[in-house]
Amino acid sequence: MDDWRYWLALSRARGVGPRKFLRLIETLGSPERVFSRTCGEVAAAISVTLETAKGILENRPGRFEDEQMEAMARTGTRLVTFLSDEYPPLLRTIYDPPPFLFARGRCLLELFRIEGVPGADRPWVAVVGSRKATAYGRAVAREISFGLARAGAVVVSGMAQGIDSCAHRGALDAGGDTVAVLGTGVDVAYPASNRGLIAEACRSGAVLSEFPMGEGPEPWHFPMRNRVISGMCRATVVIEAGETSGALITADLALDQGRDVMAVPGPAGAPMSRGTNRLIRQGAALVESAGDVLAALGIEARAVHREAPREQGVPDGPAVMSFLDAGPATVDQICEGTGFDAGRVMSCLTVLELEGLVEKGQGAVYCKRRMAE
Amino acid sequence: MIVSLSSSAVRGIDGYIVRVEVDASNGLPCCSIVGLPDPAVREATERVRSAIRNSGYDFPSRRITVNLAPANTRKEGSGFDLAIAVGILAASGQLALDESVREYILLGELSLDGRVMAVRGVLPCAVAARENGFRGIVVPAANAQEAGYVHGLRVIPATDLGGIARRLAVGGLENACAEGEPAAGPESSHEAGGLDTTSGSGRGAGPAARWPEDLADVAGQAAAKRALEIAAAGGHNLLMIGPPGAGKTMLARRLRGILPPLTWDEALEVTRIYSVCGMLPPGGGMVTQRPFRAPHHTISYAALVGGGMADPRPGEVTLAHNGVLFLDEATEFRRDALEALRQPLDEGHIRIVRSSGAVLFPAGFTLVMAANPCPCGYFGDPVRPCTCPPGRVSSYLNRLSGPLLDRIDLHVEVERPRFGDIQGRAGSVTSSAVLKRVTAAREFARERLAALGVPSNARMGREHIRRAVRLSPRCRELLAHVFDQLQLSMRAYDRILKVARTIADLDASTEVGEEHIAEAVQYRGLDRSPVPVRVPDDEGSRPTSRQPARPMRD
Repeated sequence: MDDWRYWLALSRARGVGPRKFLRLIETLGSPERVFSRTCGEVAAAISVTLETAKGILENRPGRFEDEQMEAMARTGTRLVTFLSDEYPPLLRTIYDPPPFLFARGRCLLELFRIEGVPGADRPWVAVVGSRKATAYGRAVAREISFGLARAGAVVVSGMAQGIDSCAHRGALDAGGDTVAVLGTGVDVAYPASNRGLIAEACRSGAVLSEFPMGEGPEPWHFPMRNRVISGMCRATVVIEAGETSGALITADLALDQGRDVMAVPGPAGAPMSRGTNRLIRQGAALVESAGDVLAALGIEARAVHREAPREQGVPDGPAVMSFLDAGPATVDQICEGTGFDAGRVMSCLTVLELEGLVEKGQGAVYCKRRMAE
Repeated sequence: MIVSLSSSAVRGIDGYIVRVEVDASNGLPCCSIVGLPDPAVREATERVRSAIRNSGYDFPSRRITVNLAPANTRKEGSGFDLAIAVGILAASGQLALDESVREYILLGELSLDGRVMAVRGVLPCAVAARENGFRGIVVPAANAQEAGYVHGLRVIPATDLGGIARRLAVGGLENACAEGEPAAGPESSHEAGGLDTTSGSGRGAGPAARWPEDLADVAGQAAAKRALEIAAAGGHNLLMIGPPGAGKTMLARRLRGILPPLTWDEALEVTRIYSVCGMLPPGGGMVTQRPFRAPHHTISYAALVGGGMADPRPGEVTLAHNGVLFLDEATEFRRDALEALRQPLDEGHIRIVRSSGAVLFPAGFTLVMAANPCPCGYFGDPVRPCTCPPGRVSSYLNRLSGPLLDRIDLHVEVERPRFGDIQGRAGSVTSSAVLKRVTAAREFARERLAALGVPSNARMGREHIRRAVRLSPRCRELLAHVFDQLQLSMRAYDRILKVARTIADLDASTEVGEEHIAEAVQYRGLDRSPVPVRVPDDEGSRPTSRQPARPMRD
């Protein structure tokens, strides 16, 4: 337990990145043991000058580490170290795995296997995308995550606004497990609007971060966080990404790490689908549903059917629905297409929304809510 | 010899009577004005001196004291010139005033050659004159029309000092009629019920021509047009959100075209305000159109709500009284100015307190606000990508405070029209057709509102709503469902019911039905939370002191 302080201290030492950290514990044992070694041994282990080695050893646990331990105790946070069984196995295999992860929530061991079935590994799948998602992207993110979670996969995402939030939401809605990897400390709610979602994820999954407790969102955190997301997962599904979206960085990292990259196509020319459409052109697997993702992973999709909502009540419903079959539409277009006046259309849309058949997006665009297949 | 005459001045938008006393006594020749005159009043001495001389009279070489009573109120403006000049003529014995002059108010500014120039605020002064039992009012000829809107008050137009002095001399007032009253009484037009006749300036060209802005000019935007119709029928305030070029301003301008015409009393009230502000058209015609005020977002607090140091002047909210106040780029307005809208939105007037006292200005307007969805304006646009960092998108509309949004019943998102839309079809709905429906709905609601004692559906309080909107069990069920599923905040509840009531009025339905509520729900876009959160919980996740301020990458 107290060992954690040495882990924290060693990771903060100058000249020790994730690679050197791991070399140190490979050759010299646990961080506590490292601190009891001589400068010469440390310098030889990671090929640095004696000066640097001296600096490393001087950085013994201090006030910062005590405060970190306190904060962890307060929030029930564990340190999942590289030497722990809990450490995600796939993450071990990447070029620069983080030496440890702060973790809140359930024990990760429960998320690796299906309980009682030895050898049945649960696939971890990353579902990522733009923070400025459209209604379409949100709907797809929720639907795919829902399907993956139902099929027993663990949905991993970054707890950002937009696609990430919807991915977590979808998995939670399915009663499945989800893992959030944050770009802040695990006790920081960022964005603040996701506070509730983070708490939920803690309860039915885990919230991880390689950043210290209380660490705020810094721009360089997020690419680092992304390598963890892609590294932990067998596949990364990109749902919506603009031309310069950070989700594309995750996709690149996944490729570097030798993972599958899949992308959900969007309408031609849609700004929020430029990135995903390009990924597909470059050879990413095109996926439209959770079933496609599972098939690409070679997993038999267990038939997951969300009970189809019954169409009822509204007399104008079918007309509006069949118009929306062609794609998302504004109230204007629906009015023109169906010949109803605006009041009638608006009234009808509310009922359809309540029945879960239609979803409202940004800018008065309504679209049909797609169901898990 | 002391001469006492009556004049009038304006405080706020109400006139009050000022007694002008002139005393000419022996002593060093001088002329002083007492009774807290402001510079414009003090300078009256010079104008009056020249005007008297250039009208063929002598300015007396005596000690002249002019007192403006009540002496403890600050007097502003140039409207006392005429009374002072006539008073000096009488006090110096050059003019024998008719006995009945004391029953008249004298108002007017003098030019150096003796002509009587137009002044601001004649209408409220005329109203004050009637209320204080005066028989008539002498006003600059240019203001005669305006003064004539007050019934039961004789209006004597004055063009020059010499002429009016002769009128006011003994016997002159009796045969005034013989000289012909001004074409003051707008009786004809007002009895006809229409206010189509503006002043004689030939602006009145019939209703059709007066509304060059028609809803039919706007292509598409069915939802926004419907929201405008509801706003007009129920007096609801409206917020339009959409990218630049979506036609938000165009739509807002068309709201007054679908509001019922001003009633006589409303028109008089508006005219009074514009008279005080000196904004009446030349000739002083009645304001017959509902005002449409669209102040720029750099407007100061005082200019928006009214203010000024000693004598508060009406601001845009008052100028928009009985009309439409349109705030384009609402998020860019100064926060304090926007917050100051709360009182007028609740009470229909605004009270401005200064050290010299409080003034109450009417400010009952329909508020229309327009805002972009994000700083760059293109968030959610199907074609053009938004260039804002996501954090700023979500915080952008938060600049409108909750209490202000609480007072806005309708939120509607406006889409940028596609080229085909503009090309293909003009709007099918004309303003006159909508106006007909709006008028019918207001008529339908009138009795109920009178019983409740509120002017419009929008002004209903919780208690009124409880009495006016009876919900069937099915409606209740629908509402419960709505709040559960669509993540609406509870503050939306009253708004939905009020708007549903108006929609039912447009339907001529006494009961608020499910379809009405269902439609009203669509106008509460801003109350929806973007990502549904079911369990609000903050176990252990406290925000740190380092608040996320920097843009991040996904």
